[in-house]
Amino acid sequence: MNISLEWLSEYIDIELGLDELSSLLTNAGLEIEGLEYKKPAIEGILTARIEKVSNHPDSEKLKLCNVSVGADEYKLVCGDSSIKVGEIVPIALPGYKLPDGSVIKKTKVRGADSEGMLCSEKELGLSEENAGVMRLPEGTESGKEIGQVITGLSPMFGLNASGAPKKSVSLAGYSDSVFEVGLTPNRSDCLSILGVARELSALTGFKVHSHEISFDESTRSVNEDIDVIIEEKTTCSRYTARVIKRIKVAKSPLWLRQRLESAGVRPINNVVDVTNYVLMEMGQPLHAFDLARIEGGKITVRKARKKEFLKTLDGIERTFCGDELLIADNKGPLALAGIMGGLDSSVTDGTTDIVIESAHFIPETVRKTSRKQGIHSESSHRFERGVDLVAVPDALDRAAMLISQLAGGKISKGMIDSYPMPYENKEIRFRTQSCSDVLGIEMSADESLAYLRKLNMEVTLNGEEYLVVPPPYRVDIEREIDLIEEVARLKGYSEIPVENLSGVMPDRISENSGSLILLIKRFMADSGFNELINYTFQAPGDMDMLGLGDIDPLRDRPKLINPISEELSLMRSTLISGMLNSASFNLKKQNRALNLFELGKVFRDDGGQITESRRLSALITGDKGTLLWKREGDIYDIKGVLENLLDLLNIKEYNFVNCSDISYLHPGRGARVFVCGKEIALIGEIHPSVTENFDLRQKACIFDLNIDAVSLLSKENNIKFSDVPPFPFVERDMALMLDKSLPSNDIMQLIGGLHIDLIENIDIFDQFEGEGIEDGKKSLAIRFRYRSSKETLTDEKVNEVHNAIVAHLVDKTGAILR
Amino acid sequence: MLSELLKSLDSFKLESENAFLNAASKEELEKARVAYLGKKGKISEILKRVGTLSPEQRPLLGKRSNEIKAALESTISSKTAELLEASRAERFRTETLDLSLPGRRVAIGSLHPVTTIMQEITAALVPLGFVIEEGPDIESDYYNFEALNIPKDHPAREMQDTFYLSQDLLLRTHTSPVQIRTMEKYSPPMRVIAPGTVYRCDSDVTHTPMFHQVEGFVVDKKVSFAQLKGLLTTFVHKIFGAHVALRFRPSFFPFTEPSAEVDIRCVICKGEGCRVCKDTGWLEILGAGMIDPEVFKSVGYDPDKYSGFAFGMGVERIAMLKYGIKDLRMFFENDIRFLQQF
Repeated sequence: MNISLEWLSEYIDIELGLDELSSLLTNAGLEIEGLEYKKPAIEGILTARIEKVSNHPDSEKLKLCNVSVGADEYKLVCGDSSIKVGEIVPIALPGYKLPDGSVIKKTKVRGADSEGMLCSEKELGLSEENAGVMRLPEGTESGKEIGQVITGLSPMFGLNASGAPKKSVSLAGYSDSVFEVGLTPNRSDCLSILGVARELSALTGFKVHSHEISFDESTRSVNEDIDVIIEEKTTCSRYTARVIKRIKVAKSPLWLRQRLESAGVRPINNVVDVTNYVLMEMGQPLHAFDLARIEGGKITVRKARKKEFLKTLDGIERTFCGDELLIADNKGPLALAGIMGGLDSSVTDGTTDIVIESAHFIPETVRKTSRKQGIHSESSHRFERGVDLVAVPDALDRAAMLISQLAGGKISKGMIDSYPMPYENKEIRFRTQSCSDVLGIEMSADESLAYLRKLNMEVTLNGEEYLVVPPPYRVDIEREIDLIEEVARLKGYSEIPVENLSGVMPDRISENSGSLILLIKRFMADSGFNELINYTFQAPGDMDMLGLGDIDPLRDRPKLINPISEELSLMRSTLISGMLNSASFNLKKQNRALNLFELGKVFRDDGGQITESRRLSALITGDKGTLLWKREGDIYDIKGVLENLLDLLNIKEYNFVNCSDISYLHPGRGARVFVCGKEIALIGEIHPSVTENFDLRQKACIFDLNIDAVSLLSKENNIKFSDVPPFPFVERDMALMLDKSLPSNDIMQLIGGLHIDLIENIDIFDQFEGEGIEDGKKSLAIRFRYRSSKETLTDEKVNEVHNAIVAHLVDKTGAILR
Repeated sequence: MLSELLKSLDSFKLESENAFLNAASKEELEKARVAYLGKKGKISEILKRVGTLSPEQRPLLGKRSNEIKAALESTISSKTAELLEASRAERFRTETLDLSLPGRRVAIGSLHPVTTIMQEITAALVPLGFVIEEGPDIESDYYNFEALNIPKDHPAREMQDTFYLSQDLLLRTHTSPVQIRTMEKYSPPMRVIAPGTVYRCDSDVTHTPMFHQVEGFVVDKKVSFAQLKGLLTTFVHKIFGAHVALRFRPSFFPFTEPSAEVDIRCVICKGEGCRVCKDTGWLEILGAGMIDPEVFKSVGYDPDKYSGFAFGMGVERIAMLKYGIKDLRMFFENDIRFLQQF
């Protein structure tokens, strides 16, 4: 909410600098988020009288004017075609420097002499009004400094509300500062100038000035023109109304428009502006209806009927579903209660008689409707947060007084005040000991109660406790803890000491996988991979881009009802598409060698059953090493990383099994990884068509590991030392011609199945196919290292064992020894 | 006869010495050695003629030939050393490597700044007895709102634009649901820290629909606001340095009361006022407060017996301040030129 200091100073004398004021409010929880300094450019602007107006010979829009400024006469061209002889207007004469830096000169406008410029309010920085030249009141002398003339037009120009000159404001040097106050939702009481003044009063001790409300009423009773019936007595707590007849709707005076603009409200006409003015000033939303548009002279507060509709002030036709709270007449809806009025019953230039509504609706109702209809207004904003139920008629009277002052008219006798839910004082117990305990500082009763009293709370002693009654505008205060917060706020958080935690350190050990996750991430980074964090959202098309089948479980993704965009409308079921998108993004930025990984959650919606799991995905593409030493990275590079990672996690018994059925992997270069029969990962080269879909333009290899499975399998590394072997090893090589399709892993398992203790290690040192090898076959060369822990092995012994292995492999696989 | 033989020995010495010294390689030297000193070498031929000498003369020839042999052996060994030296020098000349060339490096990876900052935050609190807890990203309305004293239609819900998956399921808007889940599961005393991904339906220059938070909370008997100030002061000093000034000011969160916003002296301008701190000299980095009695009621704790405090912070915000990152969106673009800087 924007608070004009000029406006605020009508309610409270502020003898503080801007910085002091700003930190005072911020430290009390009313955060000052910005400050705008406003200073009109009016020094040197004089008043001029229009002496003669004629048409410009070359333009239909422009007028030629003769003006007098005191005794001097000037000729100029004016763009405001409504200008008339006798009007008093502000003039900038040659030599005057405009706020934008340009200087007024004698010039010719389409051939006609122009010796100055008549100014609009906007050009002078007085308001946003730029529709035409500013008009000063009839009878204003010409040739005067405008600063002196408009003083009487606006309390902002050196007069306070009661007409007495303000202290610190010089006439020509008028300025205003507008604070942007960031209010938390609990502080609805500060959604007004008055509210901020009350808060400042509690903080500084300065008194809040109140307005004297007085006006004449006509003899005609309000009841002769209007009747109010509240059907919804549990949602409309109070409804007050007044009638004013024979008003003259017009543009509001400068001061009113200035203040509204400072609060960010666009001026409309004097009646609507007053309702908005009182809203901003007192925090009570008001609405003015054109009495002539209220069918049957009866206002009913009722629920909407299904399919009823209303065109609201914003021009949108709204159809109701049946539980919205409405203000209606005999014919139909007039307004959405507490949110926005209807266009048809609004006050227009032709309106003569009006009904002003000042009412109170409960927050839940207003919020529900405003959400359902997607309207957020100054009014709904306040009702949703809570409005002072007791002050409802005060705001009505303040508005009636201002309207009758500005628009004339007769205020009908009396006010309608229908009050089905009268305000009840809240009595809250307060114990000084609890206050001291919560804050961690010994608070005396005197001190804490003094703070509460400053906030206009009534405090009475009740046995060993106190009973505190907060003022009705503090809708947020309901419990003892709320009072404690007020005490802390007024004392100042900075006055509360800094203490160490006491009590025992809890000895519970974390049961989650956080440290494992960090271990894995660090390993990946140390292995040369850059960590990505992608949005966990996915586009609908990602699954097609991965070539997944129609019933692939990865398609069962949780869907957002209100996504940011279609592209971010589903929760991801795999990290791979994000990984490929990131790779593609970076390749396009000329980074041709990438090692990427992401460890994060994926989601699944299995017929309404939503699950989350964690996966690690890694990708390599492009050359490895600097240009000098580079070589193309391939699937075995990334497989090595995965193997190292599994070793690090003490997962030893893994099997890589080739598979050709994963849509996004090359059918001959993909594998599943199993541990104890459970699939834990996929690895492979990206399918060429998927590479194309993601616009990768180069080969890429990935793995995708189930972290939840891994964290269950990962064991503590229970190190058991074994003796360093004292005897030398013997090595024997073996080259076998095998079917190409036979995985090397099968050979390893066959050897393993023999359970030969003498084998210390087996390494595949060559795999070859092509030239010299029969089609469909491959040559596999294996080096065996034999060692005994008891003796030095003899050639005979080793040969015996080695030949037995050869014979076994030949027998089981049909291999040929080369 | 003797003198003739001695003379030929002397000329043999001269001749063979020349041959050894002129040898250009180890191989030539060996060849010369065999030719002169070998079993069938020239010296043997001279010595064969010893039979022509008288028994008295024979030792004289023997002595002389031994002297010459010894001298020649010494010539050979020094020549051998010389040749080795020369051949090494030649090898060294040709084997030179330019060590200013780049080494064969393994690519250096990086952790995402969000990971690093989260790790720093947890590392600051774990030694104080805090235990890490986690919760799901897809939360129920109950855990994300209701149990945290944010009933349906409460204006506080407007502070957080929520992504919904159904009437009841949503993407958590903060890590605070972990408070409820943990308090339901365990009983006090507890000190918990909960890092995680959170979501808000907002996307512009300063908002991303997904970001990260760390939540911390303490529940025990007699936990006070003064202790909250103490813990956060320690924490901020660990993260931003020991001399950073803090400011606690009143704020509002439905699940804490009293609530506070914690500011630190602007790390960019040191309080002078700059664009980053919007000329206030302060940077908002933490939200905190005493756990609201309503929250204790929803998990079945007696608010008259236990008290506690909670605090939460945005990880990206802290990363931006610590590293001087200006654009929030860079965190999720995953440009490796960004990632490799961390």
